[in-house]
Amino acid sequence: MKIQRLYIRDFGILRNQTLEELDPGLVVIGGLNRAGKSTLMQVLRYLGYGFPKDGNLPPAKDRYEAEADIRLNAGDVYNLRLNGHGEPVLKRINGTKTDITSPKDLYALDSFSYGRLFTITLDELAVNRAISGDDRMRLQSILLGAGLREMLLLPQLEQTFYREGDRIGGKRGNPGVRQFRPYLNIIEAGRKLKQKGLSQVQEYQEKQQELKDMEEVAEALKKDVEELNNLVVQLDVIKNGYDGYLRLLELRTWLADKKDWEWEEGPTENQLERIRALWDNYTGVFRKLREKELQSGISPEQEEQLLAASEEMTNLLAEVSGLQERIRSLRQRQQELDRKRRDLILKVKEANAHWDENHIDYITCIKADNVEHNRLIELVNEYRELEYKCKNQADILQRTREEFLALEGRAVEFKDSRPWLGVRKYFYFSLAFTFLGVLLSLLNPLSGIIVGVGGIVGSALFFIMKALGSGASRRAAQEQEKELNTREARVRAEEGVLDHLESNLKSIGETLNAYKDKLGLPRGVPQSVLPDHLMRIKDIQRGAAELDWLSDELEDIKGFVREQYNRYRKFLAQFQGRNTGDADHGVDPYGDEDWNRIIQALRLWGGRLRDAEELKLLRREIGAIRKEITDIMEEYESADSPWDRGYYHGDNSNGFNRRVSAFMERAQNGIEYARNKEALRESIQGILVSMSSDGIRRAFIPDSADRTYLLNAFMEKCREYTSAEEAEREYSQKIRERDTRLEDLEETRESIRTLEDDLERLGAIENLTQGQRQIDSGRAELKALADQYALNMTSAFLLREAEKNLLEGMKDGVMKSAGNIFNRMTKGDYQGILPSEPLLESDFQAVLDEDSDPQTIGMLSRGTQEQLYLAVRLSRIMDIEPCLPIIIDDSFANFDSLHLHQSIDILSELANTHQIFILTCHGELVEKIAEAGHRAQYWLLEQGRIRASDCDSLSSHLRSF
Amino acid sequence: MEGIKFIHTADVHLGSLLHIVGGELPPAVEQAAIAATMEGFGRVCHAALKNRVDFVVISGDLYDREARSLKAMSFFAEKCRLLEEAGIPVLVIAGNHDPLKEKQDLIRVPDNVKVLRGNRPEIVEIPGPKGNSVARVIGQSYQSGSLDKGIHFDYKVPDRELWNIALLHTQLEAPSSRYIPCSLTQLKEMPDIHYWALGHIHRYRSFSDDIPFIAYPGIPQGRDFGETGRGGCILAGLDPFGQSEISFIPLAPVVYKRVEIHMDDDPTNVPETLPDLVDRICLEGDRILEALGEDEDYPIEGYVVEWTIRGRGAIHSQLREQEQESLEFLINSLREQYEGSSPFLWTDSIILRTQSPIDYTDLLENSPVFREVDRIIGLCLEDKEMRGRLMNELGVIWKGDGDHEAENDLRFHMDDASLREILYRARYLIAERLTGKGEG
Repeated sequence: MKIQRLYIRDFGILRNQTLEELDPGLVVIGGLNRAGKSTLMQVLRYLGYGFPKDGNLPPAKDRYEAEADIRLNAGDVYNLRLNGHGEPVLKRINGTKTDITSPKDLYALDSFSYGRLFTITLDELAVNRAISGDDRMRLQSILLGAGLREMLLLPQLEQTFYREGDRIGGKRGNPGVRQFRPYLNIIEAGRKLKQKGLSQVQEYQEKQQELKDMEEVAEALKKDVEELNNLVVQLDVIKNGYDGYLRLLELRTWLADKKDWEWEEGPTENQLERIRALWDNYTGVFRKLREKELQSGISPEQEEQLLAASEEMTNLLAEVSGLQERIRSLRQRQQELDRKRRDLILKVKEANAHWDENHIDYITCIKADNVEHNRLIELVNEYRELEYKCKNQADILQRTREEFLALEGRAVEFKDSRPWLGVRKYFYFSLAFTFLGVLLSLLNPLSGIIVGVGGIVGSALFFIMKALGSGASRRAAQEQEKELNTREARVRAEEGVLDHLESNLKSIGETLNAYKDKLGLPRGVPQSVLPDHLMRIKDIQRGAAELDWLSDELEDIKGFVREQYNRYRKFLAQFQGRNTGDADHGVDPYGDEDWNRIIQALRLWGGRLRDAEELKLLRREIGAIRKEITDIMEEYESADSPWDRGYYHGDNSNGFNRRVSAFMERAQNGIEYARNKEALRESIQGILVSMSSDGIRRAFIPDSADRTYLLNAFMEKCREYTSAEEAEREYSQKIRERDTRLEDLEETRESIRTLEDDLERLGAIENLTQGQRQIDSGRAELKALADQYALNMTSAFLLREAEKNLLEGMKDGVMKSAGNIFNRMTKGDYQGILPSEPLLESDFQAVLDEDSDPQTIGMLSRGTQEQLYLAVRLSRIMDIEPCLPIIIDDSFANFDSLHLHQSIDILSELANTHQIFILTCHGELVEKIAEAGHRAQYWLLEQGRIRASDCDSLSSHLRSF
Repeated sequence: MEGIKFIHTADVHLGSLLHIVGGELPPAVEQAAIAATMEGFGRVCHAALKNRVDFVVISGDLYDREARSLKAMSFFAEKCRLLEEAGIPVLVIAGNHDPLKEKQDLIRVPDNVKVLRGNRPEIVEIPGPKGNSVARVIGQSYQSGSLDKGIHFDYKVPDRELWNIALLHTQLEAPSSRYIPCSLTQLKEMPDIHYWALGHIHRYRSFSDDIPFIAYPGIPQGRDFGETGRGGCILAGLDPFGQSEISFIPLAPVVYKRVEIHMDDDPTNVPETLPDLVDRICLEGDRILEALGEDEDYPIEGYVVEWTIRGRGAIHSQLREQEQESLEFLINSLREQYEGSSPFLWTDSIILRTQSPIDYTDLLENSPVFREVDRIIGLCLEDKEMRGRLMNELGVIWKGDGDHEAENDLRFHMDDASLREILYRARYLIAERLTGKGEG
């Protein structure tokens, strides 16, 4: 890349300066001090990057402005334009390359590197001592030829990663430090918990052995307790059952003694009790019969007679009370008949004071039933009403006549009133007012006129009004006359009504008189008594009929009583021996006295009849009891039995009595034997029941389940003790022993339970689980951190390794090339250049020969130092693509002639690939370049003006000062 | 010889708890965490009964010294009692996790269980149904936590008249020599052994399709994300007529699963918010549950999942700036989403590996620094010395030891995959910083 044209419009001292057709190789620009060389150098340095704001640049007059035409090796031409501090603007003038679009594509190197490498001044050649640490390292990196900008990042980046790693896990990644620490604690805690869980296993083993020992102890104690329990159970049964044991022995002895009492098929106790009860009953009834026979005193014949008439006797006795009632009723009816007869006679006399008891028949003959009581009442009422109406009608007629007469009187008064009488009065009044007016006019004519005229007019008006009123009176008189005629007609009508009523009244009065005749009433009595009289007649007729009926009924009752009286007397006669059957001679069949006598006799014989019946019943009962006793005995008596012999038989009571007594004695013995036998069985059963539980069974016969051995075992054990008290004492003793063992057993079991709990706890895996969970949790977090740690440390490691390798590469590559240039520049005085460690923080070293130690910068002369740095730079410039313009500003001041010549040779060769601007104020340098015979272009810079020149002119110009 | 069938299991680690992170776990997950290893062994026994095998061999690490509980011992005894009732003997060797020295038989095991001795190999003959012997089981228990002797050379059987089954708890072909160092070739060359029933490696592997079979059954129930996939046991059938075969029976009730989600798989539907991302993850979760086949005997009771979110998207910056909050939201959302599901799907953790767009090709071309970093990463993965230097940098917490067994709770094992992951993340991080995209 070559600058073909450079135009500076405004930059420091340089204004409107143009360098046309610049040489692509060596361009020598000479100028005295303050001519503008450094200013031009800065334009060239910042051409591809823009003028910086803090670059200590010379001021512009107006605004920085410069531009250049850049020609690439391929022939493409671009224009770069700088304006103020802005970015350079690239514009293609000709060419076809499409990959160059910005100034960075031309100057493909950062500003710092270009400035430090391609812009070479005396200061630059001594820069390593002058610049700050970071820039120094940066420059050193550039000079060593590494990845330039990236290379510079490496130490910082590596440190960033390393520090981050260190922050996480320290330098050694120890789990116990920095951020790892908390998780280590968690994991340690988890491990401890887990270890605890694991150690439980050992403890478990110990506890398990302990448990085994304890279980053996418990087993032994349990056996002791079981044996003692058995003994206790035995003793408990023995002490409680000792009485039973004694009873059992007693029963067995008795039964053996009374063996002949045994009657296996004999009667049961109930049956014996039954016989006894029957026997007691038999003797009781027998005694009662004898007593009754003595007490009743009736002969056997009478007894038979009575029993034969038993039914009739019963009937008669039963009818006595009814018969007595009939007799009492007979007397009451007779009294009632008499009373009613008296009442009837009184009613007859009440109906008619002239009648007595002899008119009863007459009255009964009156046909009162043909007269309707209601009709009679209606007629009487109708008669009364007509009487009332006649009276009223007479009053009405009277009032009507009086009103007619009064109306007739008023009609005469109206005939006297006349109309003309009013005109005459008017005349008199008019005359009077005229006169009065005349008189007043004498006093006051006006007043006189007013009074006179007013009086005449007023009177006229008054009489006109009055005449009108008298017309109305005439019309009223006409009305009155009409009314008079009407009233007269009405008087005549009322008279007609009265006549009609009186005619009806007469007719009904005659009908009622006919009824009076019919009912035996005189005509003079008032009509109103007729209905009541009719009712009395009817009442008397009913009373008479009732008396007839009562008399008939009374006769019937008397007939019945008399008949019964004869029946009773006849019945009693068969026992009393005389006939009392006819009641017609000297007896009163209706009187109380006779009847009481008969009833008393009847009751006497009735009592005897009951005695006879009782005797009969007792005999029958005795027979039944005897038969039942006999039946029962015969059920158990066998042919060979002594009870069956004739001695006991026979109908007489004594035989029967002996038989029954013997039977009962034998049965009693048999029953007692059976009872004791049953008692023995029950006693055994009671003992066995008290031993029914399996526990007791095991206690007595531990090796057998057969309960038949149980009683024997019990008896055997009982024999060991002389009394229940002895067994009781032994029982208490064994209870105490057993309880002691039980306490020991319970304690042992408690220990076993504790051990089992311990074993369960120890067998649990909670500690293992929780511990593992903690470890897992801690490890998960730690893993994440370890991962980050590894990532940072790996990144740091990679960068560190890369940096080292890259710098090592420079030793072999860049330093070798620089060494060659340095060797040539010093014409073989020095063999080469070496970097020193650390690479980025140290200067270079010069190698004289293989045998000598390298010389540090400080050991070299200034000229040699500058030659070394120039060599290093030129070496780097040669390596860098693209080939950017090089600017050298009087950098050879400290070079001697030989080394200057050598350096110009090297630059001239470099000018084949790179455009090199050499800015100088030394004419000698210009001459040396010319002497070297290399092609170069010369420019003269003077007071900010640049113009093309040649070697001699330029040399002369510079030497002239 | 008669044909025989047997179950080969190992590394049961009975009673070990599943490593599940998440504070208070739901009941189903909690129960699984406690009981899954036992349930796994229960299923092994069920498989033995169902397939009417002649015997069961357990090639070490029946228990775990770190989780040897009485509950586990009782459970083992109980299950073996079932096998005893079916006439199935159980042959056991102790492994490095349950060496004889630490053996504590607190629960009496039934008589059908035989633990082989530890001082030298022991042979036990297995009786057949007719009373004659049908197989020999040879093995030697660990007496302590390691056994650095090649004891397999002493596995000598009298003849080939019976099936010879060798139990060996070994880290086959491993650089470490703490767990019976041996090679596949050595085992194959041992005469007269028909089946090498190996233990120690927790993943199913079979090294041979024919006699002598050499196989690891793996762990019946995985316990952490180092044991992902479904565990099980081996059903081996040895046939005198050349029809021998072995088959793996998957039966673990709980499955550890790592799931990677590339959120930019579908460029038209890249999650932009956290709820979007939850939905995206749930798609995968649903797929896992939907893919579940019917297994009546050994159903999967649950999954414990670690989600890794990768890819590029606008959400990256939010995830990066509020990483903890975002993780908390995502984890809680997913746990809520699958709460009560059967089988359960428990989100154990989420790893965020999303990226901002970086042109690595350009970086490699133009940045000598990045080029060098990339080169060093390659070296770290391939060069042992370089890897060693890197592991030293990672400190004590990353033990870097290849011996998985020696791992303890305070350190982490950096396996190849983890190291690769870390290196690539570092590469990405450096690229971000170099390009200025990760600033701030």
